Amino acid sequence: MNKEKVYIGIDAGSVSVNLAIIDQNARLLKKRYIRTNGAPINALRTALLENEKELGEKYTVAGAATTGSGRHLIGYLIGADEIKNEITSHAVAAMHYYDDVSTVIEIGGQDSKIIIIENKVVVDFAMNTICAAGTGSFLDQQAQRLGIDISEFGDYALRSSMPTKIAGRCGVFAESDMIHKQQMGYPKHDIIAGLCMALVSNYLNNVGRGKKIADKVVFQGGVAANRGIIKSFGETLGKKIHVAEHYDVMGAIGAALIALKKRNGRPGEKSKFKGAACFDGEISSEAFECRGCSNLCEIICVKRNGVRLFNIGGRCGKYERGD
Amino acid sequence: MGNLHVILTALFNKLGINYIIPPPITERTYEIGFRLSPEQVCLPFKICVGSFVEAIEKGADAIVMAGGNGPCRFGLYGMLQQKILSEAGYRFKMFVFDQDNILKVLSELSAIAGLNKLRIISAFRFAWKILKLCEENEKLSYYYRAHCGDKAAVDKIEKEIETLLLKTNTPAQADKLKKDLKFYYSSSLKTDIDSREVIKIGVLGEIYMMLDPEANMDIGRRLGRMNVWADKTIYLSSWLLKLTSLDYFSKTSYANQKKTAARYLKSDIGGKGVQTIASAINYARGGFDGLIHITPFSCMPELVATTIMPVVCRDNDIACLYLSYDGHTSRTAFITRLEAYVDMLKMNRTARR
Repeated sequence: MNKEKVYIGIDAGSVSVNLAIIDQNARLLKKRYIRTNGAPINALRTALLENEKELGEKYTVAGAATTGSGRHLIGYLIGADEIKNEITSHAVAAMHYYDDVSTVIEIGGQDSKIIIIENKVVVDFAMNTICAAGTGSFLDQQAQRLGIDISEFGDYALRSSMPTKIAGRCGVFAESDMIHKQQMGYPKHDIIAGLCMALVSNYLNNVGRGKKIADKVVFQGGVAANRGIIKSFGETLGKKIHVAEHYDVMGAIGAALIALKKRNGRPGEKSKFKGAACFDGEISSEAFECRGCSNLCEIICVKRNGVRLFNIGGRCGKYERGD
Repeated sequence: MGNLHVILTALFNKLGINYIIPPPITERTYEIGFRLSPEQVCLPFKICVGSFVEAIEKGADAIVMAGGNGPCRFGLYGMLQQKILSEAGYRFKMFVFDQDNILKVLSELSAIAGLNKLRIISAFRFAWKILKLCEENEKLSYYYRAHCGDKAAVDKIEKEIETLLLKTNTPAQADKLKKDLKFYYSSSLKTDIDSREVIKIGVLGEIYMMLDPEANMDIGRRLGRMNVWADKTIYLSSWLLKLTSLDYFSKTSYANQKKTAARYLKSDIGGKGVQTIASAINYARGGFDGLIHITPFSCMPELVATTIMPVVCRDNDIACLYLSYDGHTSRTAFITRLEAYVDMLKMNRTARR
C-alpha cells in the first residue's frame, strides 16, 4: 500500500508549541496549539503521540522542520530536515494564504514582528528589541490584574465607546497608567479598550517605525485572537486587517511548507524525522557550567535514559563538537 | 579592541616596554564594566572599563587609551574612565592619545622606557606590517568561509596564521608571511560553493563594534558560516590612517566620503556617521546584496545616521538590517535576525534574476 506523504512543521515558541501537518499539495490536514507551561519537550511528546494515533497507518512523514525560539533544541531532538527562523517561516505562511500580502503583523507570546513583502519577496522586517509591551505575555498579565479571562479581553474592549487614554510608550508606564485609571474609577471596558489602543501605538512606534505599511495587511500570531487589538489596528492604520484563518499556528505552517519545499527537491534522501520514537525512554536535560574560560557558559546536555544525545548552549563549540 | 592588541604587542615588544594584554572579553568583563560605568553610556565604554580592571588585576600599572576631539563623547572617555577607576580604588597611570598628541604620548612612553625616537619609528613600521597581515588574514578568512563548504577548515587555517603572527619578530619574517599568506588558504581549501550562491553584505557602523568580534558577536565569521561574504567598512589600519590624515589621497579619505554623503548629510556629526552614509552608497553602487548597520545602543553619531539611512537605502535600492548592541542583547534574537535577513537577501536575489 502506498502511504500518503505528509510534512510536519513545529513552532516551539515561548508560550506554546504549535504543530501543523500538511500534505503533498500544501493543504493543512491537522493543526495543534499546545501551551507548554514551561515543559516544551513533554508538550511536544503528547502532541506527536496523538498525531501518530490520529493519522494512523495511512500516512508517512516525509519531512519535518522546526521554527521558533526553541527550534534548535526541538530540531535536534526530533531530527528536523530544516531548522528555520520564525521570521522566514511566518512570511512563507502568509504568502501561501495571501497572494497579494504586503504587510504581516505577527504578535506572539514574547515577541512581535513586522514583515514587509513586495511582489512575493520579503524586502524588510523588524522585531521588537527592548520592549515586550503588547505581546501575549503582557496582555495575559494585565488581564489577570483586571480579574478577567484573557479570552474575554477583546470582547470587553469592543463594548467601549470611549477608550481611556493610556501611555503606550513602554510596558511599565502603560501598567502604572492603567492602575491609576482603575483607581480613578474608569469602567473596565474603557480601560481595556484604552490598553488596546496604547499597545497598537507602541507596536507601530517601536516595531513598525519607518516601515511602509501597505495593503494588504495580514495579522497572525496568538494575539490575533484578540478582537480589541484587531479593531485598534484597523482604526489606527485606517486599513482592513485580515486575520489569517489559522493565525495561531502560522509559524508552524510556514515550517511545514519549508519542509515540503526542501524535501521535494531531494526525492532520493530519506527524512531525518524520528517521530514520537525520539521520546522513547526517559528524556532528561541537565545543565552544567563550563569552566573553560570566564564566559562560564551554561551547557545543556540532553539525555535519553541517562545517555547523552547532544549538547547545546556553548559559545565556542567545545561541547557541541564530536556529537 | 579587535586587533589593537596585536599592533601594540608588536610595538611594545620592539620598544622593550613591558605590557599586559587584557584577558579576552568575556561575561566577566561585561559584568565589571556595567557595574562601574554610568548606565546610559555606550557599550564600548563599559567594555573598556571592564578590560582595564582585568588588566590592572593582572598587574598593569599604566593604561593607554585612544581619544579624539570630534563631536562624539568618545573624546572624553579616557578622562572619565580614569576618574571612575581611581574612585573605585585602582592605582595606575593613564595615557590618552589622539590625533593631536600621539607623538607627545609616545615620547613620554619612550622616556619611561629610555628609548630614542629612531627606534620608535622602526618599531612603528614593523607593528604596521603585522597589523596589515592580521587584517589580510581576517579578510581572506571571510572570503574563504563564504566560498568553502568546510567552514571548520577555514577556522583552523585562520587560527594557525594568527599563531604564526604572534611569533613573528623580524620584518623579514613578516615579509615572508605576507608573500605566503594567500597560498596558505588557496593550497588547502576548496572553494566548492558556487559564487552565484554567495550573498555579499557590507557591514558598516560604529568603529568599536566593527573592530571587536566579541562585542559584535562575531558577525563577520557568523555570516561566513551562512555562505555570506562580509565586507567591513572599517579596519584598524584604515582608522589609524584617518586619524593621522595619511589617507588624504585615497578614495576612501574623509574628504571624499564627505563628498559622497553630502546629498544626505552635510555636517560632521562625529563618530563614523559620515562614513556610514558614504559607505552605504558605495556598497549599493558596488553591487552588494545588502547592508548591516551595527551600533552600540545610545551611540549619538550612529543614531543620527540611522535616521538618514532609510532614505539612502531607498534611493540606492539596497536593504539594510539595523542591529543595536548593549550588554543585554540576547544571542538568540541576534542570530534569528541575521538568519532571517540572509534568507530575505537570498529571496531577493532569486527574484531579481
